[in-house]
Amino acid sequence: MASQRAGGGAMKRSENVGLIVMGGAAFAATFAAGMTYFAWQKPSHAGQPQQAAAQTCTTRPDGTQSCQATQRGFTYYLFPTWGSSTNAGSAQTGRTASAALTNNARASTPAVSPSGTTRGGFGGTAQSGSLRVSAGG
Amino acid sequence: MQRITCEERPDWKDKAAAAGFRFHTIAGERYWDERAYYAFTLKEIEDDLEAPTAELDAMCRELVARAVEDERMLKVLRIPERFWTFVAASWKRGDPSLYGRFDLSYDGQGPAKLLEYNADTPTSVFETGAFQWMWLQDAIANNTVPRDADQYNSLHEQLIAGWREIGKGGHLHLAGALADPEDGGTISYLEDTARQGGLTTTALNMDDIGRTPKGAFVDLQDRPIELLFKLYPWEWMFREQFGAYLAGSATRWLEPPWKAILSNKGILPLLWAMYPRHPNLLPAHFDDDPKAADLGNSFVRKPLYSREGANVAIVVAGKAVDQDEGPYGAEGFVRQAVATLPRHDGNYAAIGSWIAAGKPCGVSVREDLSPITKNTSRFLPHAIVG
Repeated sequence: MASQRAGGGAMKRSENVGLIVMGGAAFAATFAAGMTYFAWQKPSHAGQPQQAAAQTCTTRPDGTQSCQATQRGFTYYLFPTWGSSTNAGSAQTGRTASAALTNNARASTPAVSPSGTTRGGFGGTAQSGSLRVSAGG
Repeated sequence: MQRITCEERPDWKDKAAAAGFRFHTIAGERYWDERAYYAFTLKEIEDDLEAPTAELDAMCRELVARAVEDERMLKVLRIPERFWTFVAASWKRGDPSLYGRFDLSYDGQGPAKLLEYNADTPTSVFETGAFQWMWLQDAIANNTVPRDADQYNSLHEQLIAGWREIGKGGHLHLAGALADPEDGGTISYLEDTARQGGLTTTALNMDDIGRTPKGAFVDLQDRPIELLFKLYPWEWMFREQFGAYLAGSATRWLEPPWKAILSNKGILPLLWAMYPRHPNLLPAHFDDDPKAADLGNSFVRKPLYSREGANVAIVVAGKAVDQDEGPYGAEGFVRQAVATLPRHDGNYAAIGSWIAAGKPCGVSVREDLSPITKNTSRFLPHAIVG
């Protein structure tokens, strides 16, 4: 229920903004995972024959193994050289439009796990060199 | 509407860190900026921003309703034909939307003008819904703003309400570029609001999404993804390997596929054609439309698909006086009449007007020294005063 402003009328602001997850610990965990990804280079899949991804396996109590791909995709946070506003006649050459719809973002071959699950079929555009990582606007 | 300089809280960075807001500074440049705030009157908020946002949303939904029945509209929006049925089916099912952000030019003197609609992957949601609210609480306590100051901001509650309605207590997956500070932070905040809305959650990178031999999209534990929030645009997904399997999956998407129609600057000329001379619209035409000449030789040229101001050019008397480089534009451009952002103390200010769970519910203000708003444009808080 909206509380009242001084002088009448409902207030237009949030009553209470309580954050559960967005504490420093949760955020630090997010960034810790991100920094791990930065530590090694994602191998290029272009031109490589399709092959099973490297795996991390754990042994269940019944002796069977549970495996999942360890070659996770990750993204570089690229600072675009074209990020600043320029005046007419700038010497900076605009990159050829890597078309949002027409450019082929299918160069990378999705990885396949032993279960037959294929991964890496989304996310390729963000990892291309011509676009900023941030997908938002 | 006024820009009021003020003292920043001496411990604002500590407070940001405590709240998990790590991208308050980007590459050494200030992003969150509380050296000033924007003051609005309640009348400005209600009459000039809140009500028009509801109207613009209704107009956009009418545009979608027409587009899904008119291939000519889908064609000019450059939506790939193989996805027309997928997008139309989403609308006809009534797939729900969580949120969106209308970007407006507004100076407090006349009606706000729609610059574009971030309908699919709007960001700055944490700064808007949470951190500027926290600023207000402190600003009232330390007399930076009057004690009866308010803020147009119920985005946080509307997000929770939206999750509750859409998710109905089930499990939500959220996907994006988790390692990116801004995208990862945005996803983390939305995950927080989803949990408060009663959902259980799993976050993963976009390229961790798997597809089983039977065609189900799954997470890293091979758990089926029934409801997915993606901070990743439809136009990118359409061109990627798994795009071919979208129509055959049982996954529900947020934002829904029909939002692909609206997250496209081609809606600007389409809206102008549907609602000519509407007070909240600017004249706009497709770049290759002969009617574009009606705008004369001063206009803003925008790619159909772009983000964060990339490849936008302001043309005055036939010359590009300001432009942002980038990789977009292959699908074509639109031209929109110039509505230069208001300038306060040398800063151009753009309004982001948010809608969540179907209700207009807040604004964000971005500033830049250039008239083109970019990802690095600073975020300033606001208050309702008077």
